[in-house]
Amino acid sequence: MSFLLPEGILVVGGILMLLLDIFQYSKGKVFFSLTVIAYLTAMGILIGEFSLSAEHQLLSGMVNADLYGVMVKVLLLSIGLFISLIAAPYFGYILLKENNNSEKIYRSTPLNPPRPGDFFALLLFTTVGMTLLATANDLLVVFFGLETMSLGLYGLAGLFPERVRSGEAALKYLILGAFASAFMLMGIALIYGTNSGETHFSLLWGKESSVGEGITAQMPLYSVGIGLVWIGFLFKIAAVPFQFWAPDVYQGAPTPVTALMSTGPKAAAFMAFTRLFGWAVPQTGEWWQGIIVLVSIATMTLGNIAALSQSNIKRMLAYSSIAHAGYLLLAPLVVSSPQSELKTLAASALYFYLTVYYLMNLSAFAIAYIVNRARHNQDYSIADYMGLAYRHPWLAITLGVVMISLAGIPPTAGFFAKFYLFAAAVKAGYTWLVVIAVINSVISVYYYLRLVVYMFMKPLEKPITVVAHLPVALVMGISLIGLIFWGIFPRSLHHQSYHAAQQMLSSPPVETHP
Amino acid sequence: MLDELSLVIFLPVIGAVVLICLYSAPIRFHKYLSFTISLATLGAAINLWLQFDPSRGAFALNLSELIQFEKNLPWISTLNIGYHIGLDGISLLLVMLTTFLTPLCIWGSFGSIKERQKGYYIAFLLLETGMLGVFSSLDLVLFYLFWEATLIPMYLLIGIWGGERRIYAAVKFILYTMVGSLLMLVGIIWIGWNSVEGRVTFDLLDLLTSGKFSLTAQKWLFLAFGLAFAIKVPLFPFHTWLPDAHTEAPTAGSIILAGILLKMGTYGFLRFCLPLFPHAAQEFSGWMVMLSLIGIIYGGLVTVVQKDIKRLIAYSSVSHLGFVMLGIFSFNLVGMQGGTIQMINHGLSTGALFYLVGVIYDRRHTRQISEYGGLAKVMPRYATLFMIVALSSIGLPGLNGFVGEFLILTGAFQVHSLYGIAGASGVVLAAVYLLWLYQRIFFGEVTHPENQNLPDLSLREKIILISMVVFIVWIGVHPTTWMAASENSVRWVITRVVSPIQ
Repeated sequence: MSFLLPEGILVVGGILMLLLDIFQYSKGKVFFSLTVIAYLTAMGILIGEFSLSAEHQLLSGMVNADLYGVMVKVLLLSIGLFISLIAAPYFGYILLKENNNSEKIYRSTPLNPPRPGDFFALLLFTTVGMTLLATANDLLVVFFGLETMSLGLYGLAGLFPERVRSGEAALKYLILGAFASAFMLMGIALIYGTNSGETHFSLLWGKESSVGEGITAQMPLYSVGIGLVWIGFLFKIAAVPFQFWAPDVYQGAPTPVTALMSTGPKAAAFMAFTRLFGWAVPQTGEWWQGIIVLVSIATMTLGNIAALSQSNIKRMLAYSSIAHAGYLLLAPLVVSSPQSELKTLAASALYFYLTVYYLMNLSAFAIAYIVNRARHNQDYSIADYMGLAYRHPWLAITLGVVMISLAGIPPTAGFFAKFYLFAAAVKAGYTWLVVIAVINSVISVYYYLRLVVYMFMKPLEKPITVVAHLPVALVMGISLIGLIFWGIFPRSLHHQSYHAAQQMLSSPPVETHP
Repeated sequence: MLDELSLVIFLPVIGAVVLICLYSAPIRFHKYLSFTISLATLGAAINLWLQFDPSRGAFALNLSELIQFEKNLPWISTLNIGYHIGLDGISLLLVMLTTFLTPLCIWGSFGSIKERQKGYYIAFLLLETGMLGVFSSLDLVLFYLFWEATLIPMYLLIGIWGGERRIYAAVKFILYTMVGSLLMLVGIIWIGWNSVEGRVTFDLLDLLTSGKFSLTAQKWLFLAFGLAFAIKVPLFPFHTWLPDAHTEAPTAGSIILAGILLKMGTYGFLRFCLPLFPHAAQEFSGWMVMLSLIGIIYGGLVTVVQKDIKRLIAYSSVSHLGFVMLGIFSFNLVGMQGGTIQMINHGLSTGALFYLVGVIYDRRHTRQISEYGGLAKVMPRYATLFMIVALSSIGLPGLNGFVGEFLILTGAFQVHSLYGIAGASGVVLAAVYLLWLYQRIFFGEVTHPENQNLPDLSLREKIILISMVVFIVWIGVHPTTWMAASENSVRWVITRVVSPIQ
């Protein structure tokens, strides 16, 4: 039961913040500290559970509690923690020592910072949604987690109502997201209907299922259901052709929220759907695999090519996220093959990739945020980075390493992330797809390294003073170390996730009745 | 503690990390420490050379008999990727070349690099580790990691400290090279899964003994690997990145690029393409020879009409590396040994040529041939050394270039007399462009008044050039010292290609 304790803590924390908020308490520091304590406690409990040797299900089999689940939760919790670290100084929740030469006094806080209760409570609830989604064992729990997460994100996207872009982002996300959720729910309903009233992962399991006959008889509707669920999923990860919302929403939302949006939901959704399509539906696997191959190709290609011409760093990172979602789609593809070795490889590669991916993205958005603050405008233009290396070498080096890692150049962790994933895909027979992915990687090198060119090779025309408060510097430092360490010794992370994935996939879920 | 070979590979990066940690130390500290580290690496490499046994592995059937200083540690055990390093004669020679050129480059940069120097020396040391790792790796993924790891430092060296069009050159360099490398990565991954029944392995020695590839698979893999290496060599028509990269790079960058990085491509053919895919190599050998010859002749012709000294030397590299490829793909001992030693020769001669250009560029800040004339009167010592190096590049007997070219042409002639004849015309072209260059720069009257009072070589420049010339002459006069090291390995490669065990 202690597996769900972290969620409990987060929920309690969120409710506490809402209560404090109702009573007009607005000391940002307290909210921030409470949030950090909540996250750290939750993570501490989970890390204590690492010794889980046997997997078990909870809530009558609704949630999967095994080592892999624990690791996934730690991942998602740390994303939430880092987001609160990035946002807190700049939303004015904690005021740290200002830079001494603040002759050009700039506002380190926005005009009307969102009420801390709003932000932190939403953040906590969103995290809960993500963890439930990622460890779900039942389609309804998947939906529940997805909705909780999405609703939280809609709110977070619109945190600055006086900014037009922010409101636009929230509204777009809400409307399109609701649409996608509706699709998914319809799909779940169809599966429920054609599956004799079962939505548990174990009972979607094709041959071993006790309702195998039932599925074959109503195959077309069942397949439609699967298709609709896929559509919902593809929307959430911003894959082609459902990616239109991403650049606008990413650009409009406040940057720490964008950082969350580009990492958390993707991680959670990919985990959930990789398990769903890896375990639950191998029978109907074949027809959608071809389509997903096409979607993957289209997504990575569109993402990379569109990013080439972006001059706004948030939009560029948005398209880069789309491209990475394209690469990541290889994981559900490979997981759905019958060989267990392949499944394990894909699941462990997915975990490694998502961990590295979130380190890179969080760092990139954090740096984009603080550089933008130093420019006092909302441009987020790439030209802001010209000559940055002269003025802030460490900042430039961190962003440089992040860019090199995103491009997949050794010896950074981003290379091994792609390597493990591509290795799994080649083994599964998708060699041509990997060739296309690899060509896309080369295309992406151009726009990732463009930032490196700007920072290191162009002269410093407009002077800039970037202030990195301690929490943000902490996030950046951890990413830098992580990216380089796991670029040289990837085994430390991969071995762990391989082990966990093996354990998870060797024992399919079983629905237990109370 | 590190074993000997790992010490050689990682000493530069350890130095780089030290420099990063002590970043705020004065610039002179950075310069002298990086120079000392590179000298220490050279010392460690000389230690390897003295311990190397050239007679080991004579008429070997397995590469493992030829590998010395071997070390094999598990690295990514989930995919059976190991930290497997070792040297045979060919890689030892290249390691010696690398560790020899790097201190000279670092020392040579003391006077020319004036801005952001700390980053420069750190990048240089990182690059050195990458190159040494490439030549020592016996595991495909490890090899790939080091191969790609050389890209970013070189990219930064060209892009930050280079000439006017440096950004264009740097981006072109990295994108071009990466296309090839990434396709090679797909090939590597495919090999890992599909070469040995029932298990995954990326280890070269393992693949050589147990790996089985069908002819179709070999062809595709040869193309995948071959493209990456052909871009690096550079083999016509994949050479178009080279003139820009070489011209815009800073002097030391050009020396390393021409001297070492290009050899990574030819080394790749010798180490991976030929032994692992012998049938495909035989099938494609005609094409490769054709492309090499085109490279020699076309490269030579284009070189003749260049107006920028550095660009001229850059194009000459295309021509010279065409010779090396011709030697390698002649599949006989004479040709391949010639190709191997010519790799070293080219590194020394062209490296020295680039350094000589750097010397004159530091003084006049122009590389246009038309800006010079009659320099022999003003800088006699410089002119003398330039003449020696130019003659070695042409292939004058007595100097190193002759040894390589003669062996290569003999080998090519054995395959088909036409190849030998076509190749020999490349030698003539080399004489044309280099002697004409020399005449325009050095002979005759001093045509530009700015050239009247140019200072002759400084002590540092003299020592650097004379060090290179010493080896140029040594290899030319007594090449056996060097060629004995690689003979057994080359013989093994030929055996592997000509009569594969399948």
